[in-house]
Amino acid sequence: MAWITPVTDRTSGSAMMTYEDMVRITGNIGYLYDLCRSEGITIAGSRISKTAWTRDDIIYKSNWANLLTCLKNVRDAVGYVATDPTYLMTWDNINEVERQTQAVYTIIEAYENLPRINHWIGDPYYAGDAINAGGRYE
Amino acid sequence: MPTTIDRENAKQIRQPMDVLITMQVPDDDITLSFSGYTSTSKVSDGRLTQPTWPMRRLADLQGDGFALSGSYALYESLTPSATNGKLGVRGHVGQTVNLTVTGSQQMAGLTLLVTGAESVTYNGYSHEVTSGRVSFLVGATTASLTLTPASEETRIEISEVQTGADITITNDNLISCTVSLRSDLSPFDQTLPESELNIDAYFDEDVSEAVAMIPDDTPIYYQAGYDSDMSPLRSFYVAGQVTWADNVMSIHAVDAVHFLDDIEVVAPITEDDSDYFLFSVRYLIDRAGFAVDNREYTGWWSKAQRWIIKEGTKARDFIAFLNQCFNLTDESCDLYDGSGELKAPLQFSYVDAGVPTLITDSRHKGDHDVSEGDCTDIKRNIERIPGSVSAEHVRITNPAMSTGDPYAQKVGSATFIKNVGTSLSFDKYAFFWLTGLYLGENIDNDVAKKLESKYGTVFGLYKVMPVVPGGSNGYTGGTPAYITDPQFVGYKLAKGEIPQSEFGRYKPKPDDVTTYSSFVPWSQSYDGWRYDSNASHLIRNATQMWNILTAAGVIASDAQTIDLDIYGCAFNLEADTYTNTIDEKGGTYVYGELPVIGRIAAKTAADTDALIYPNRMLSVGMYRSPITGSFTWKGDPRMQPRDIIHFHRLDGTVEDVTIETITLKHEGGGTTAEITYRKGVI
Repeated sequence: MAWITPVTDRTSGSAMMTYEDMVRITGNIGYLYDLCRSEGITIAGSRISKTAWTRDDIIYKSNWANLLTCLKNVRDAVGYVATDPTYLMTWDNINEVERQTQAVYTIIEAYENLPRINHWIGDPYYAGDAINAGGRYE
Repeated sequence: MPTTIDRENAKQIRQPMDVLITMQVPDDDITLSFSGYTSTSKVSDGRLTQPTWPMRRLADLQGDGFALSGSYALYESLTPSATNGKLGVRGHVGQTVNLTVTGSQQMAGLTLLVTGAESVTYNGYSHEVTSGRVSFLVGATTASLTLTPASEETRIEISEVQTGADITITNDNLISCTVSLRSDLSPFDQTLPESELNIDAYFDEDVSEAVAMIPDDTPIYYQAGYDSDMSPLRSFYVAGQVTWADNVMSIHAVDAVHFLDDIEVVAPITEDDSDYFLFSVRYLIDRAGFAVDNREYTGWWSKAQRWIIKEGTKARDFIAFLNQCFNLTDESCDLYDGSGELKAPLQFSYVDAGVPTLITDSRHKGDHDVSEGDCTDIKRNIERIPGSVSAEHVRITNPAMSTGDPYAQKVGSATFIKNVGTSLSFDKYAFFWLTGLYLGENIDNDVAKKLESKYGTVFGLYKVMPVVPGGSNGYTGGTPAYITDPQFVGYKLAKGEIPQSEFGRYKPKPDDVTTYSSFVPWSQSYDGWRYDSNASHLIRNATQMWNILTAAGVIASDAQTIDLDIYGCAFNLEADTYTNTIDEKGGTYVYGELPVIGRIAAKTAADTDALIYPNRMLSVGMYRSPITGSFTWKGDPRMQPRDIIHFHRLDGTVEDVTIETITLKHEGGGTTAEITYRKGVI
């Protein structure tokens, strides 16, 4: 699943939690897990177990426990320190979950955009070679 | 698409309607067990005979999901109980649920309380779920049921199954049935009228013994229409003795409004950030046994502000008043928050025989077309239109916070003398305070403890606690706040004692003072202290506030005579008259006392405050049509008060009217309806 911009602007208990919200939240956490792996960032644990949600679903406490664990894993992977969200289904708690996914995403995105030089052992390069940020030298 | 009733109504002579009346007397001797639901349920614990156990509110993603208010919990395995709640049987979204009910003895009939279901099929016959309830005959020890969902996005949730002996009345034994459904569309001072059902039915068998056992408030259900197209199931409750004579049973039943008569609203004085308003509404509705959709409370908590219900207000009057508030959604009634978009989110529906149910749907459940040519006894009345509305004493917004002008007034005085009882009684005051009370006088145990609150402790929220002078809670020079414990401020100071603080005392060392006459308070804050006439005590004027309506006491321990001035803050102290005039027509309508005054704030799903000002809202009556009327028509059992009728006049015009009352009579194989209305869509 592609990254979906988190929703963090809930302001009251009248905000509703829909299955689309759960798809976005769990999908984003799964996305961050995949991103860490593809970027070579060491991450503990497994990918979030459930990302497909429908109207027929009821959120189990075990689902949420897995979500919080995976969220912590991606936070830890990028060194982002934050308080664990709770098990309460309140608007501010869900805001916090999504805010943390956004924060981790921003960190990884910045990491991705760092200028890097990829070269291989044995590759010859010489003074005067032009090296761009994509890692190739020409 | 026209239904069977529509097609029959279009005929000059229609087929006789089917009338189905069932009365179920609960049978506690039959034990029910349940099976067959596991394969079709999402979550369940099969607890369906524990009416007092609440259904657990789960983080359920059906429909539009759940509110993030903190009142919905993640699912986990819990032992069902009154504390933990129960799951009942909850199906998959948009799918049927199977349930097999087995009784320890033959079950005459079953009643299911269920949400999200459209119908229940038993033995090949489908029974429509109305207002979360469905009842049908069984006559067996086992019944296999199939519940059909109401939509593809909702989940069937069965919370309760009951059984009992059924008495059924159909066209075969019905002599007459009269259903009177009533609302009050008056412009001013609306009431909450009672709907009723009167039945005469013939039975071949002698069922007099069963009749004798039917208690008051036994539910009785009425439906009429044609096969597969019946009116909503309307609930009534037996009122008075069901009589039996010459094999004819006569039943009189009323709707649930009468349950409100026994409930008295204790006068609450609420402040910001309270949910008393909604809590009270729910409390009242629940007490009356009405169904409430929990969704209606989403996001509303903590939004009631500064409102007052007068002590002794009957719940029925209160509901009628709320009905007046919530039913007025035209712009002129100012239910908007200023943004121009908002309407009151809370409205009443009248699907249950005139009994209000809180919903957020449209308040109009039905639209009907009636031709004047099909009617008889057509009458039209015109009331006098008031040109202005006047209401006294409705502009007090916050008496509890106002100790001074213009709310306060001296309401009396009293002299307390040793060993002589004194008693004072006043009405309609929110709270009192007394002046002339001396801190040096030990009357707390004698007077204060005999001051009784008439407001009681319902919710434990409404007492206006005593306020002590000075300090953060002080009356003088500031706004009094509440303290949680009504401790009296007075201390008797013995010789040699000096007030250390307003509530403490200090016994001075020998060097502190030499003689009483030379004593000078060491703090300016004690400027008010002085000696009593005997120079034996330090005294000071004090003001004490009580939430009392009766003051009584005896001075037992002191010879000191105490003169008290009693000031009160009443609901109606402000002699303000609200008048709204629109033109010169009519005259002035003057309101009587209102059950609710002050300001009410609600909240919508859009998270915008809606302020309802009763005093401004009162003028809405002027915009309600003064034209009323009545006619007799062939009748449609789907009609109910507040439905809209498009009245096709003989001259070709169409007049929209709102049904105020409808009396359906099923008699001699025919059905007629006497309808009264008020012009316009109300």
